[in-house]
Amino acid sequence: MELPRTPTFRTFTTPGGLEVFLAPIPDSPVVSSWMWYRVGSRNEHPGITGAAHWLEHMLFKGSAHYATGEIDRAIVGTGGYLNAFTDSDFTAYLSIVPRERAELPIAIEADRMTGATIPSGELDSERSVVLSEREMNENNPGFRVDEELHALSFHVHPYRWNTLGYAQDIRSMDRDKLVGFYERYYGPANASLVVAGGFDPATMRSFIERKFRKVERTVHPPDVRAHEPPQRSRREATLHGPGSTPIVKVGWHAPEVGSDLAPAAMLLEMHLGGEAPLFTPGHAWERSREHPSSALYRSLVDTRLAVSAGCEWGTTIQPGLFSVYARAAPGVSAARLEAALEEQVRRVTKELLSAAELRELRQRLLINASMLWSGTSMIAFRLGYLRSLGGLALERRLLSRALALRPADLRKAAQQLFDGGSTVVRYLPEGS
Amino acid sequence: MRSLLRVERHDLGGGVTLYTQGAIASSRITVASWISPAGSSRDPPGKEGLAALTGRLLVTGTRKWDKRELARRLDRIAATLSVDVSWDGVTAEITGPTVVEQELLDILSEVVAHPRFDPAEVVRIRTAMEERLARDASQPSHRAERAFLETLFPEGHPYHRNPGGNRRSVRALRPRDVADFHHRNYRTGGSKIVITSRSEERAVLRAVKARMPPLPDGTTTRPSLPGRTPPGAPREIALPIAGSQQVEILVGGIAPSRTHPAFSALRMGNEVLGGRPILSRLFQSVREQEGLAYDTESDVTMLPEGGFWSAAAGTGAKTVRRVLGILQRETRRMMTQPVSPEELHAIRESFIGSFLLHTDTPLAAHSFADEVATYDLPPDHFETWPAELRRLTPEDIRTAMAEHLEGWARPLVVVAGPPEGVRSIRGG
Repeated sequence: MELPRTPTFRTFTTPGGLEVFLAPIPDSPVVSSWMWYRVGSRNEHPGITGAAHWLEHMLFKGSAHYATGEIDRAIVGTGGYLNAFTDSDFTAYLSIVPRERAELPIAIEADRMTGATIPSGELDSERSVVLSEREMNENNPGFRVDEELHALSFHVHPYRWNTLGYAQDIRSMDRDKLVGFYERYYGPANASLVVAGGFDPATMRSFIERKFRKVERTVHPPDVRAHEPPQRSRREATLHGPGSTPIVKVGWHAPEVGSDLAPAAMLLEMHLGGEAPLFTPGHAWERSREHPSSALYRSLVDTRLAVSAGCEWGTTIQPGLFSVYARAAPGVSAARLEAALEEQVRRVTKELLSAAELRELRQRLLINASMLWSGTSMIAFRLGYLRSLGGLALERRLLSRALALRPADLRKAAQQLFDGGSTVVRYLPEGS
Repeated sequence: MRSLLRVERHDLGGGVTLYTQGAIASSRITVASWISPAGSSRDPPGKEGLAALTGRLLVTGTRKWDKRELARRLDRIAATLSVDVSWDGVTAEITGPTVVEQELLDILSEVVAHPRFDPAEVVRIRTAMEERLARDASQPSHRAERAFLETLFPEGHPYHRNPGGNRRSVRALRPRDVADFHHRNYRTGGSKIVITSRSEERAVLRAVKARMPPLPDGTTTRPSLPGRTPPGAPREIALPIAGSQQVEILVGGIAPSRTHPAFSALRMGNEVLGGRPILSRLFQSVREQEGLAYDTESDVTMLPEGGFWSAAAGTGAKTVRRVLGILQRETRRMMTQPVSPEELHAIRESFIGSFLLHTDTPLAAHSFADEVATYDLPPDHFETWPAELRRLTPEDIRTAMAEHLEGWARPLVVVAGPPEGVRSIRGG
């Protein structure tokens, strides 16, 4: 089977340094535009955690030619959709509009790239909105477990806090900090614009060049130099809160998405948890499903130790986390669940996958990959996402290397991956 | 390419209807669903959760394939199979590459008609459902919604019950109950097959005819509905949940069913109140002006056997009364003052324009056809509905909301969350 073909796209760079990807889809009645900035919560430091996310909110609060609320009204008024999200490694702003209004999001992105007003009058109300977003997440035990897992696993690297930031930093954030962050990271040379859908590429190119001609800001985003030292010992925490049965999540330091170990980490993620989100079309359509053929499902869910189980490799630019997790079935203790999770990890470091198991993993990877470029926004998203992770070649490199792995390679990779100390977080329902 | 907004309807005999729709540009994916009225409204008394358990078991093996083999088949073609059980129906949906469309339909037919109902799987899924119920009981949003519906609808009404059942009823469900439920309720009559695909219409029709789920003839029986909730039910309910962080507030009352002639006016009014993202009054007042909540919205849910309306927000413990005041104020304003023509125009055109967003992803496109099938709408519904919406005047909308959304003058209020946040509400 062939490796999937990337859809036809054109690329150019504006004089200011903005990379542009244009993927025309003649039959599409919509245009999906995504502006990706190579900045996220890993660019923060204690005292300004949450700045990237909060700034993302403030970029909807007005810019040189759009008063507060006008950006929202302009896009939604067309029937379109707009949103944004902040990750540890990047921030993305997306708009989907009817093809007749294709130029509108481009004009907005050009205006707010360097002209965001970040009005002080909006800061306090947005502070409580961001705190409310955090409280909403804290109602979810999964969020609390994940936050604690990262806080324990990383002592040095900014991956130790999540994109929402610490509540105390949100409370003390001021306009100067946000503006400083904006001026340091928001400029054409630190961004990529992706446009997919029903437009004429020549017309679109000329419009983009015109709109971004005067958008200038020299940014020199400092490298994130923090490197997490190897974890030598086991770290653990137990949380208590409302809930039904225990949740256990165990994590290990893991390779970054561009590393040589990444293809193996991806196959191990598929073997243990059933899917590699980077190559799972359903992941982007927000349909999750159980994976009865995965090792964790068979050993924990089929045996009624857990009601759900899974695996997660964070596809991050710098070394991140590989984790396995499960939610206990009624009557099963956290300790038993933890032992069962670790047993599955131990197995992949000791035993070889059979040739048939590996063949099935490879086949699934390929057929999944063949469906990844379906839908206008999927195409725009994927182009920008791959670029943000290191480049479009990443997809083919990961796939071709993963397909070449043999059982012994996978076991060796597992031994490397799970060699260091692990971090375990248990969530126990109140009263346990 | 076939028109995306227009759905084609075909009578396949035996009470089965097929709906087909063209795929979006650049899609290599087929989505197929089978819809039946065998939802939780068909649960026998004392066996609440049975429809949900039956639905979840469809994906755990069939007569031909055990669970592992079914999973392997799906994995091999990168297909996703899911089942959703609501009060009024069950939907089994499969998604996968169009190049293996016939295999997708084979699998869908097999899981619907010949589920295995392995006793060990019945126990496992039942246990998972019990855990889910316990988990939901600790979540403010679920607790608030449950109390809200249990108060609005009288006992015995399908919408009073949780489609997932309750812990006692679920624990008592047996493999035999599941097989009986499937036999009684999974029938050809009233079932619908919906397909979104880039394949030629005739090819889809041929493929479906050759792979119809071989179910018994006949239809499932509609539930009988009890009378109204007796007067004297509480109007304010406070649900303290220790350890939670945010308070969920729900305000609302009874609404008419989906077939009510005021459907379009009520739907439009809801868009103005809190349905339309960003432009709605609740979003603007609660979030943008006051900064009191990250999430706020309203809904008018009109279903086959009745309906309900709600205005909701999640907020901090100290701001509950303020947010509640805004939800009630904005609701009253909808009923007492006509929306301005300018505001109506902006929100209506945004709403109509948003139909186009369904051409963005394969599943969004499929949801169009699903809606046409579920509510027996005309095949060209999404082409003709805009004209109907544009005929509505501000007074049409105000009158519809004031007359048909019950209890707006004194709505039911439910708050759930940290004890210090719900203390200001009287009920318990």
